[in-house]
Amino acid sequence: MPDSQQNPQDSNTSPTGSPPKAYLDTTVVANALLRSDATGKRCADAIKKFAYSEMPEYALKEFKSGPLKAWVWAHNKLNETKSWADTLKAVNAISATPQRNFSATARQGLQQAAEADRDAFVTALGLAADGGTPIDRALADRYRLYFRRKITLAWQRRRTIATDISMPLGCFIEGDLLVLNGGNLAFERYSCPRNADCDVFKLLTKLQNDVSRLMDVVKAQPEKPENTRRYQALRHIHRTPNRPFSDSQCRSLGDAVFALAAPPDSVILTTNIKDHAPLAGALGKIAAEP
Amino acid sequence: MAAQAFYSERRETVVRAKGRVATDDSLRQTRAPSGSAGATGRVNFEPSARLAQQPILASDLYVDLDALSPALARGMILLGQALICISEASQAARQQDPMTADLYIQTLRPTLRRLFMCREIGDGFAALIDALISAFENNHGLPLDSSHLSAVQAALLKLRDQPFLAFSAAARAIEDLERAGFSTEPPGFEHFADWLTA
Repeated sequence: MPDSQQNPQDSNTSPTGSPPKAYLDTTVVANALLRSDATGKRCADAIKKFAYSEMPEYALKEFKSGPLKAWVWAHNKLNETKSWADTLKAVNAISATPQRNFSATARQGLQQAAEADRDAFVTALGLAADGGTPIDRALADRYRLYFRRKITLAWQRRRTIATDISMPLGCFIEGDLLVLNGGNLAFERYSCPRNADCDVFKLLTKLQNDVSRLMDVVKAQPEKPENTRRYQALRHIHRTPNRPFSDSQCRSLGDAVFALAAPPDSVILTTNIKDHAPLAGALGKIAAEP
Repeated sequence: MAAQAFYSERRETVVRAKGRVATDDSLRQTRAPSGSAGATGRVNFEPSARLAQQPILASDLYVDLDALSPALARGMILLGQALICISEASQAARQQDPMTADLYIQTLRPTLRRLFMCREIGDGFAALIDALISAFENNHGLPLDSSHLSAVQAALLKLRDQPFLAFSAAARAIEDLERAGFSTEPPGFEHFADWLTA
């Protein structure tokens, strides 16, 4: 097993020899906060096994503009259409894009589960055929209510998931989760304000040697849009540290921020080990899966 | 009949006039009471100091079903039926009769789906019923132990006493269900979660 994939709870894995701290990546934060299934429990349990865990505010920023926004979208789509069938159509349309690929198997699994649920309603209510619009709406409401609960609780608990929150970002506004009149959930914004002074940029310009090393690693990785954007953002920090850095560039840094900012005696906890391991390894740090 | 059974245990309860009931921003239609107004209530003679110490239960307030919105009236009747089921199931379980207990649970499950159709009462009400439906789905028909039964009973009693409970209060009640070992995720949700959390 390579160094970067050691057991995160192994007390001997810290490069400094001290008991490791968990440094939480966005994937672990999102799974632990939003999901109640086996994946979510695995992440939450992994965090609890560490006596000390640290989450950079950058993880909150990514969580809000990534997974949480997607969950809010799904909630609002159910609320808007008030129809399970129409929501699935919208999901299918969105999932046709490469960034949000919803596999046919997963889609089928979801549809089958919903069909069984529909049948149970039809039987319980003694309805004919498939129950029509009222049952379609009931199914939509079942999922909507669950989304609302998970989103609300996840946002309430975002700062309780780790022992400590590090890397405060003055440019990032967490904001309040709003319930609008029609029942939609919303944040005032999902990204940093335009023209905000990027604190991530300020921090990383002080780590030029590490940034340079990560540029080499990212360049050697398979060519994909995510890696290209990450490389360009790192190059901006390295070559033009005095030029403004946009919110979009900040988000493009992604996994690189965790590799750069994680304390040396910490283990970067992530479900995306494939992308994190080479970055962490290049800086002598460790990434591990929950 | 079930509604009568449900309300008979509360017949001696005094209708209290002071205090507030937790509400959600849901529909609360009212209709003018039919027949002789006030015939179902009793005058409260308790000192006001004592009133302040006791919570007001919905079943104290909503005695005249005809005066309620159709969804709330139906919801209260169904809740009464559901409570009878869970109460009988608990009793059977205490008497080491798991088959009888399970028969009552089999009756309870479609009642919960009918209760979900009364969800216009409020999102708190709907969320808790939804969680109960999922809890039974995810239990895959396994017999419930006493802690499960108690948790379901507590949830149903909460709804009977506070049908307009706020969404946040419902979320806390659902966590109690989860602490009892239930999974309250809707069927197939993990596929949705995989896609959205990626």
